[in-house]
Amino acid sequence: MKENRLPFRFLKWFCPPELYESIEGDLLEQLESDIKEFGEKKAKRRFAWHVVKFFRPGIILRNRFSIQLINTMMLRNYITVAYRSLWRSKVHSFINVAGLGLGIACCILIALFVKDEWTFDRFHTKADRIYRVWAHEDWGENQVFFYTTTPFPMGPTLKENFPDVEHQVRINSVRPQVKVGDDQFTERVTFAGQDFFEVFDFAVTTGDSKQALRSQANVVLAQRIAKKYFGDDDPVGKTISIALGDTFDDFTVSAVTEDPPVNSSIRFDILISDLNYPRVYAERTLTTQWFNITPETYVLLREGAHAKELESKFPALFKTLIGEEDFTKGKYTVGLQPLTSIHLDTSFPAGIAPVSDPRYSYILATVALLILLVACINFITLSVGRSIKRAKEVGIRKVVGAVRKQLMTQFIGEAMLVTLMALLIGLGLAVLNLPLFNDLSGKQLSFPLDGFMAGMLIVMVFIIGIFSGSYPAFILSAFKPVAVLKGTGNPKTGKQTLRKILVGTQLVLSVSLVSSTLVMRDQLSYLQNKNLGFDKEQLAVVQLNVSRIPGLSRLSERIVAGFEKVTQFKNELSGIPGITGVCGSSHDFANGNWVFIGYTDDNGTYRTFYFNTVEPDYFDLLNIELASGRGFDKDNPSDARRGLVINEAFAKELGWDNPVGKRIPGKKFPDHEVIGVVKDFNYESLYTKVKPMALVMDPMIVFAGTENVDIANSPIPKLLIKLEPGNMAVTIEQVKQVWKKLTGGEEFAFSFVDERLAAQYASDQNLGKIIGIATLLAILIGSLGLYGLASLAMQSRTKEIGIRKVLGATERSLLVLLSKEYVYLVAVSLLLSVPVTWYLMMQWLQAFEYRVAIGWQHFAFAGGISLLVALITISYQTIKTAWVQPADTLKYE
Amino acid sequence: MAKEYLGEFEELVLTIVGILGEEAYGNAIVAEIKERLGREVNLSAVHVTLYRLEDKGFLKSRMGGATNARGGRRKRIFTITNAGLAMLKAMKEARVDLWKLIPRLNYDSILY
Repeated sequence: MKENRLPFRFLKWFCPPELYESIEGDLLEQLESDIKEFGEKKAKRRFAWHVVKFFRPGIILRNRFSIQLINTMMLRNYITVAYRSLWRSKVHSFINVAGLGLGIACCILIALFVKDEWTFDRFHTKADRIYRVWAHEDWGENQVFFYTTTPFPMGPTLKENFPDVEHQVRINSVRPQVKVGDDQFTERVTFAGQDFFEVFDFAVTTGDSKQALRSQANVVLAQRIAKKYFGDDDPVGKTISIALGDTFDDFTVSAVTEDPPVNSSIRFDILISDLNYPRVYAERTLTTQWFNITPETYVLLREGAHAKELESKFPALFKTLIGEEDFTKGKYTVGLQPLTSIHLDTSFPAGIAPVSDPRYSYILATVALLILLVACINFITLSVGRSIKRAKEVGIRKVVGAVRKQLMTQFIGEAMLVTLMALLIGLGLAVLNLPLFNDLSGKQLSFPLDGFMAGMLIVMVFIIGIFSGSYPAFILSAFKPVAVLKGTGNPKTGKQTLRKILVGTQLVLSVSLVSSTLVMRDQLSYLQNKNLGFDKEQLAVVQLNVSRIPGLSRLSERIVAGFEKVTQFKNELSGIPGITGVCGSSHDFANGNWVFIGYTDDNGTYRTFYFNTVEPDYFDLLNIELASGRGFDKDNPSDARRGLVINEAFAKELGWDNPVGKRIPGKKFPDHEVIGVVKDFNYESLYTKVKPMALVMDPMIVFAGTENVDIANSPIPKLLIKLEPGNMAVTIEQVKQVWKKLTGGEEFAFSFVDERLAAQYASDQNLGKIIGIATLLAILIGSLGLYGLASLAMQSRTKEIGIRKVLGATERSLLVLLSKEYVYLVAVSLLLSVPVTWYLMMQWLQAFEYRVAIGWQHFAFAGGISLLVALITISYQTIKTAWVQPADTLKYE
Repeated sequence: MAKEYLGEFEELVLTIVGILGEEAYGNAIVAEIKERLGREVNLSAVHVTLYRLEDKGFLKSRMGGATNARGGRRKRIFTITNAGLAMLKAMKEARVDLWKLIPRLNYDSILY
């Protein structure tokens, strides 16, 4: 009957043992008769089926469930004993509970952070059907364009041609003047497709979302803006004016939405319908220009439609739309990116929605787990160390009849109890520190007690409890009752090496964290203090506004008009004593990219550079050094017309040793000449290398010759104002008065360049702070553990020390003896931590083009700190042990 | 006794155990039912019923001796207890009493 083993094993598994034999016999007998009746093959099939039919409550429930889940009598005893043993060693219990509590608090907070990052944009009920359109062009010669903002006709074209596209929504923002009554503000106004509220789930508080964007004259306000404009009044039906085109147009508030949630990629203050596009953009741009990209286009696919399938139909359409030549030569590809991947997928270029680096989530999650690991290791080492005291208990329990399984359950249960207490403390800490954490992480997390949280906590208790409880349980339950009860010598409390490995792991983690913190601190202070090549101190920026009044609709004309305004301001501001200089410039710093130019040079190579339109005093005001040639001369009219100043990177790219007198090697550029070269200065953030850049006084020199322009930020001039240190508040107030006088009711947009520069690195600054705090916690928890461990180690060595003293050892030599082991541990940990830190920090530093080197001093310092902390931690124990009178420890012998 | 009652299948199994005397075990009962009533029953159903009847005290069981048949496995032999016999008897009497109460006339009137 070999082939029938499986059915029997199954039967044996569920069948009560006392019934098994007769059932098996009956089945076999039935099989034999079946073989006679049906033949062997069929009989065997029937046999298996007969066995399965025994799997019924009438049989299964006859099992006496010998594994009683809760043995109430013993449970009470366990709880009593657990309580007593926790109470007896208060210090150790405190270390365990506090350490685990801190670790759990970290984990909870960071889990909230990670969850927020990973659930970005998922609050839309149709999120899985919403896609953002991207396009990719590759014209060879490094002319690759990959963008997630799209041409204007993209959305309508897709909707018309593909029935799978249920809705399309185009989204882009402009910053016009908004007039409400007599007040005037510069606001971000967002064009949104008419089906915006069909596709996205932004909650509308008042008004009708269905009709809100169907009319050209409607405007939807986010709550925050509605409050700013109308206070507590009902805004629906009220009128605001927006200067989209040449003049202010009236809009009626049709609805108010809640402010977009923090985990939304799509953000807006003021929404108007895309029916307003013709007021801003030329008709050609809106209908036929396929290489002019501005809005993000989102499509909602019909239920059951597949993005991949839809994408495969795109090439045929676009071949006809943009012409076969451009399509083939540019390898024009259009695709769909899921809405939910926008936030964390860094392989797609950022469109309008910002993209976050998933590395932050990973780094933080790792740190949280490391801290928890440190706390768990504490638990393990301390429990094992303390096990000597409980050896007798184990012995007695075993003698009275406890089996090993019971003892393990008891000790794991105790670990769970401690974990549960730690969990309560951790929860409390997490709730208390949430505001602080929100500040640091730049998020607005709340503490929901939802399924996710509850599930996470339960899983956490079980994993931590079992992880940290199982090893001590294993050791404790293995004691031989005879050995422990006879009292001859202590039982082996686990291998000393294992405990050392655990403590070593802790030390490696803390040393890594300390050195990482040091590296990060260095890099962050480097970001603050690096000489950027220009003087950022006491430098203020005021954005000017130039409306599109008739005759001023071309950008270059508006730039010129802006500089005329600059001159007005200069005249007014020159009388203020607190101001050392004023200068107009199309771009300032840390405010998005400068205008980006692409052209094909005489050899057919595609080249790019950034450019900025400035006034002659730009160099003096910012203290930018010249490498060769000269800056613009106020009194030389030829400079304003045809002068060009480039940076060293520009000259280097073209291989120019002596750039002065040369011209940009593109045919279309009008008459111009390089008059000077400035040393490279960081006009972009330190994440990127200084790229070729040109400064001009007349933007037409560059605009006329360009093939590609990427205007990420308005080149309408800004006022750069250099202030004298001291009473700057007064000076700013005076500037504001001048502003009022010259512009009327316009909003005064004023900021300091150094603050903006610092803000660029805010997320890294915050990461640095979080890691710093995490490091402190890790050290704290780690030293708690070390303290506990040292106290145990000293206790077991008191007799040894007594004998040594009797034999003449000095206290000093004893201190060295007792500390030696720990110094050794720290040294080994330090060595092991170097590669870990190196790897982690290189990952982070790689984001920066300009960065500090990881040096030996970081590790030396981290090692020093760790050693110091370790020695201080154990010093109390070692000194106490070394000073004790030998008579006290030896007299009982 | 008043509260205990038997289901149809239980009564059938109990009766067959009574009939088989010292030879009542799972397979024999299945075979006996098939032979006498032409009814195919499940071995597992018979087993479950036997155990239930044993719980109720109408049957008792012991392990029979090992034989060479059925892979040397012993049989669990069931015998009917006095309580079981009394129960069968009581049920039969109750049924006969009821049967007597069906009026002949009505019976005929249904037929004709």
